Amino acid sequence: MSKRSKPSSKSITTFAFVAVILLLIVIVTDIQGGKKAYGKSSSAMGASVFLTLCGGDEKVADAMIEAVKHLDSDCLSPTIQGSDVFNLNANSGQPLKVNAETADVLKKAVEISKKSDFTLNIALGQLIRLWGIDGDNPRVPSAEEIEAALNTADMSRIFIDGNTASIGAGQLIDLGAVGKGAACDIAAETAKRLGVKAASISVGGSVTFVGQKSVSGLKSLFGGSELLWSVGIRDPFGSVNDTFASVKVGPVSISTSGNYEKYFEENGVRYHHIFDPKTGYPSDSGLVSVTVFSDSGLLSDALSTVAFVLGYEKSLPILKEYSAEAVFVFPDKTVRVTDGIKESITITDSEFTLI
Amino acid sequence: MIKDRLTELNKAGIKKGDVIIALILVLASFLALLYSPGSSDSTEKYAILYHKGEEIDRINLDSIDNPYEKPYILNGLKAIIRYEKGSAAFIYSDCRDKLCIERGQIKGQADASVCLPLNLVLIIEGGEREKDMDAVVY
Repeated sequence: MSKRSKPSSKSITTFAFVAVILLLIVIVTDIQGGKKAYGKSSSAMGASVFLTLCGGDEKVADAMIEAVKHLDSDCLSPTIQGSDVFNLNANSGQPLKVNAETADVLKKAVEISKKSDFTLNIALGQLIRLWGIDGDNPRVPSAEEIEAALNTADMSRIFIDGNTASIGAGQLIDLGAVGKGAACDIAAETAKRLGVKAASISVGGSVTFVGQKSVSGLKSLFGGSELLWSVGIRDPFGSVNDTFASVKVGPVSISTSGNYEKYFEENGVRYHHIFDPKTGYPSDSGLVSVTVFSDSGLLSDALSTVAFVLGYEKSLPILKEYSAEAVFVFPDKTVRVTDGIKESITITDSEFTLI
Repeated sequence: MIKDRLTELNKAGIKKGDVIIALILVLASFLALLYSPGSSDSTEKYAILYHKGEEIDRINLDSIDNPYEKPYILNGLKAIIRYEKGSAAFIYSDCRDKLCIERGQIKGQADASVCLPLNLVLIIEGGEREKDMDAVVY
């Protein structure tokens, strides 16, 4: 039996030196890897879709976009023939089989609707059609017309049982208040299912961040703030390019509702597209915009509408109930925020004042 | 002290030149890390036009030397987009609200202009981000 020779100090030192070099290369490569991202843009729901994936590729991005398009064209679009919502509206009063995604969105919307005392109302389709703000001939309807349209908007006539849904006879549903948020959710779920650890998803201005900004744990060596996403909030008085604030966030979904997106003007009055279901007129709660942060795209989208309609004071309880945070903008360019966001918001436009 | 260490390494079979090359490699890697803009932040810039969610045109904005206007007629409705080096803008649309025209030039990565009545979405892909933000909520 041969005697095993003892490793020399020379070979140990050489091994240690090579190991250190390799480790440094791995660290640098790993940090660089955190910066690399795959970006893809597309269009769905009549809006722009932007994806940035850390740890994903074109196949994942395509799957995410396909999921969003499926949610639009097969499920939620009120105008695409054959979608579940189109079919429910065309066959109001009759139970229909719908996609699981449609049933899920309807259930969640109904739940938020109940908790918001029906401030979120997905049965305002007749009223939306009456005002025609999305169409070529918007107009201010008569009080009688508005009353008749509101009479069709009773949410208690919407039933969902498993994958079967029905709406009241003569009723029209419109999921515009939750659609883009739901699209962010389905894109995020697809990304996670396909192994993406971090992603930025934007559908028509609603945003969902998945995971932390960098997938590299080693990057935290250079400061914790590097792991947070930065989201800008649009200046409601400026153009789409303008922002007035930025917020550092972790994985969260964000939506804004404001009076600047879709509107028409008649006799010097601006009529925007977010209706108060109690009056049938565009809401007038003293806000110019409200941005909501929560753990779901659908929830943020829905709550931004609810908060915009209710106004600052009245919306605080439901935001708290859902552990959501919000940024409120008033006509005099003052800004109020909920407690959980005070430390992470930076006002970037000096014309705005945080109070 | 450094001299002593180098002598030790030399005895171990590692020469002074090896150490210098290794240090240069490590330093270069860190410099690359600091100055690299990242793959998603600096690429060729395209304007992509979608109609009803389908891509119908793609223009390389980096390669435009002379600005030009391009008409699109879809379902009997007309829109005109002006393409310039690095930017694009709706300048005419048969829509009612003209919000797409009010939107003006778009030029930053992930900027978009939407003409909802004509079902057109114009987006910028690639190029530099306009602001140091991951997304803008609106």
